[in-house]
Amino acid sequence: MDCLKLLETLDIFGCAGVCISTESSQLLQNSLLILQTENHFRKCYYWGRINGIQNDYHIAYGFEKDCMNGQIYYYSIDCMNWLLLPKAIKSARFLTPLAINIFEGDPSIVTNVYDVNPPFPPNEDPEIYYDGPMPKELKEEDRLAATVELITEDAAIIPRGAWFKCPNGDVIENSSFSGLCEIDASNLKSFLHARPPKEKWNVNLSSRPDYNYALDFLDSIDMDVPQGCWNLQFLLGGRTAILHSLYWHGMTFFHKLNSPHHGFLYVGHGKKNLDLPFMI
Amino acid sequence: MAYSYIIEEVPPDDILSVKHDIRRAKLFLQKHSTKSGDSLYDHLIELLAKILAERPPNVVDIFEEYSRKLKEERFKIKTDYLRDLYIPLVQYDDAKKLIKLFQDVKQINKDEQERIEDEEQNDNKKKLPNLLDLLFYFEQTGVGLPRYEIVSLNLSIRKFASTMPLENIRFWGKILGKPKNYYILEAELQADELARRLEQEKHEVQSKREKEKVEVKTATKLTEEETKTQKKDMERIVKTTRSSRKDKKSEGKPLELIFPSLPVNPWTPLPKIPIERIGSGLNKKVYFVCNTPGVDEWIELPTVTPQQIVIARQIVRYCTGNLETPIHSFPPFSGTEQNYLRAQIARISATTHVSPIGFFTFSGEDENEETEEERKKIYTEDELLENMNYDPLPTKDLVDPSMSNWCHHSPYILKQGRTVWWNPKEENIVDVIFEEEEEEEEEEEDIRTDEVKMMEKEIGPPLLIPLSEDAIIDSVIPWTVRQSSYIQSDVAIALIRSNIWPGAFAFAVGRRFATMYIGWGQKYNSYNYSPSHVPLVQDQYKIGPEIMEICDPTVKEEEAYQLMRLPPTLPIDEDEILEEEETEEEEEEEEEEEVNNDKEDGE
Repeated sequence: MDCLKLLETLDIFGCAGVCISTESSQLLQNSLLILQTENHFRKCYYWGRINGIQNDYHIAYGFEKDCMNGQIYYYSIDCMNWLLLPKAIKSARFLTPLAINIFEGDPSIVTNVYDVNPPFPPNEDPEIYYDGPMPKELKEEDRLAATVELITEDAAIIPRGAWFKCPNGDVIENSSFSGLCEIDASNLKSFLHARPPKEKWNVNLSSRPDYNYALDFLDSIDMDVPQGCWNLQFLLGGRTAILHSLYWHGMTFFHKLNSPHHGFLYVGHGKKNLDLPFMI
Repeated sequence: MAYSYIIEEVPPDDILSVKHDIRRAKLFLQKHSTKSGDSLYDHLIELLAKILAERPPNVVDIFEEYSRKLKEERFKIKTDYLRDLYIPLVQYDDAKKLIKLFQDVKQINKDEQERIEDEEQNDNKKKLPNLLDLLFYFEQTGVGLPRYEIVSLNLSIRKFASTMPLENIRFWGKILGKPKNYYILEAELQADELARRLEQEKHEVQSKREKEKVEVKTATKLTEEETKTQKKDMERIVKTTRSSRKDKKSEGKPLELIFPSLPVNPWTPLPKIPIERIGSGLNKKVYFVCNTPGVDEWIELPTVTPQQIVIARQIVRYCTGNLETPIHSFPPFSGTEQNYLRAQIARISATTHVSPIGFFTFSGEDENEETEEERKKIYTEDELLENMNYDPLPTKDLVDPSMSNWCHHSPYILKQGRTVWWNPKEENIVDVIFEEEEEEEEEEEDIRTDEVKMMEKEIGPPLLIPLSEDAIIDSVIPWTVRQSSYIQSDVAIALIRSNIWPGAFAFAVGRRFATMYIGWGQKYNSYNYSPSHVPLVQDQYKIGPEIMEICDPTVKEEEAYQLMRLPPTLPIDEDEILEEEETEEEEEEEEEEEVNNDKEDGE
């Protein structure tokens, strides 16, 4: 969500039960503007909030040039002092899904997440699951980094056409994007994952008849497994499309049809809903 | 430059001239595409004109995109038809309904005002919730509903309240679904309506019983018939086998075939835990749902049974927004989505309805001497009353992380699926109202000897117990407290959110407090859901010697056996040997008889 539009959250994300109060939206807006200037970001976004027990983590990101590969994440507890979020390390990516608790709210806390929830039977060879010495302790800051990365990878999306790949490989925001129309918006194919593509470029291109090299370089969300892991709803008599990720409860994406407005916000406890296959 | 057909004017090809080059390039650009019929020359003119007219920033980056869009626009169908074709807006129908709602509520308000003027003292005026007011507080704490929804919700609640005999209407919350959401209203039935419904229920139960009686009769008849036919079948089988044997054996006694007894079903259903009556326990309140407030009608949810609660705890489902959706699950859930939704609402309410301590009090005064029975009484019958002398707690106390200043005001649901424990033993001795303690004790002893698991009396925590007493299961701390503002803490609002039911919130400031749920209707599960196992296949027969599988004896063994049985001194006739050979073909069962025959023959 663009940091300058945080006041609109009530009417957009209210349908999912979350909003940013007027006070904190003003606080965030101004502190993010400072963050943007200090880091020479072209644009700065509020990513969302991960609820903890003692404190909540507020996450923001910005980019200088490339809006896909150049994202730099920051986190804060009081919305005023922003700290650089480290890149997720391998052991954190391995251990984060094992953590059973919600976040504590103290980035320096280290917990043993492995022993309460071992990922495989004890008589099996750990080498199959993880090469290198098996990590067991997880620092909360690393967990936060891994969680943010996982959520962004799985559930951050953009409408098709919002990002534009330049001939030199840079991904920029398409300033001529004028929004999806009603017919396009009712199709999950028109929403793309905002992450470096995992499919081959020609697979993503050939999935649509009206392909465009500059726009269809990302994976579309209709390929996600299982079918129906996205919940598409229309608000205001079909003028706003809302997408809920059912894997990450609390991830809400909005797009105002026929306008370039779009964005996402995550407010939740930062745990993936692995029960999804049983629920749909 | 006009073209000329005079050959002399055309410069010869070999002379290099800028003019010529330009003309050639232009000719090339003006070539019409064989596929689309456009030429690049025209396209560029159009594109540059468009860019100059619109003047977007950083055109060079999005030049390709612009060009593509321009091409797309050429294919758009113009809407200048001869006839006036107007497609009505999608929102048209909803808009009509909403406008009607506005008018209706206006009318209702007018009537109400007139009535109030007529009868000055109108005590039992319905208290209507003002959601806009609630929203003001919730918005500050980071929880909210869109403003347009709140308005239509408010209106539709007003209209609904004027048509139904309800009191204490409250907006319970919203359960997100795929693809539609539910908005949920909580209300209590008015006394006369409650009485009417109870009466109706009684009638239904009676008619049901009569029906059941008839059914039982027919069932017994059917079973009798079945047994008869089975007997006949058995007899027939026996006869046929006998006759076949007779063919083989010219002489000798008819064989008696021993059939294993028919399988008996050892499974006995657990005693059915009775539903709590309307107006008490989990069915004290009624719930109404709709998909879109203002547009849809409010639909009442059915009462919840203990079985549904028990099963709902074991399954996970997303709501679909359609109340009639069947629920396919294991263990099987009895009912459709409306029953599931009702069960989830009951579960969420029981856990997350909290209030600042002191806000509610028991209507009974004598709390001090709490004996067991009184506690039970409080548990079941006592109404909670709003404390008139409630002294608002400061926000600082309310956000104390020990949570001792908040308490539950909804009864706890027992493992049984009820709020009041029901003794399965009571079923057998309905008439005996045990007043004596001894009897009860005896009973309890019996219980322990019989089925320990079933009969252990479950006692939930009492009402108005502080949240600090909540159990921590799987190291999930059940509640989190937040302040709406840490900067202006003197005007801040206390917010608590449930970690067990993500999406359940409560705020309190001064004398105001409210709870709301907006979420997926799913409980937080540390270790994720794992479906329950299918129970083991039951044995059809009791394992005994008749049906054990054993190796058939070989010929040698049989012979040895028979030799052993034979009287040792007797000489063996030739006929007997022949007979023995015949018998060898037959089954084991006959062996004994055979031996007997031999003996008789020998004697």
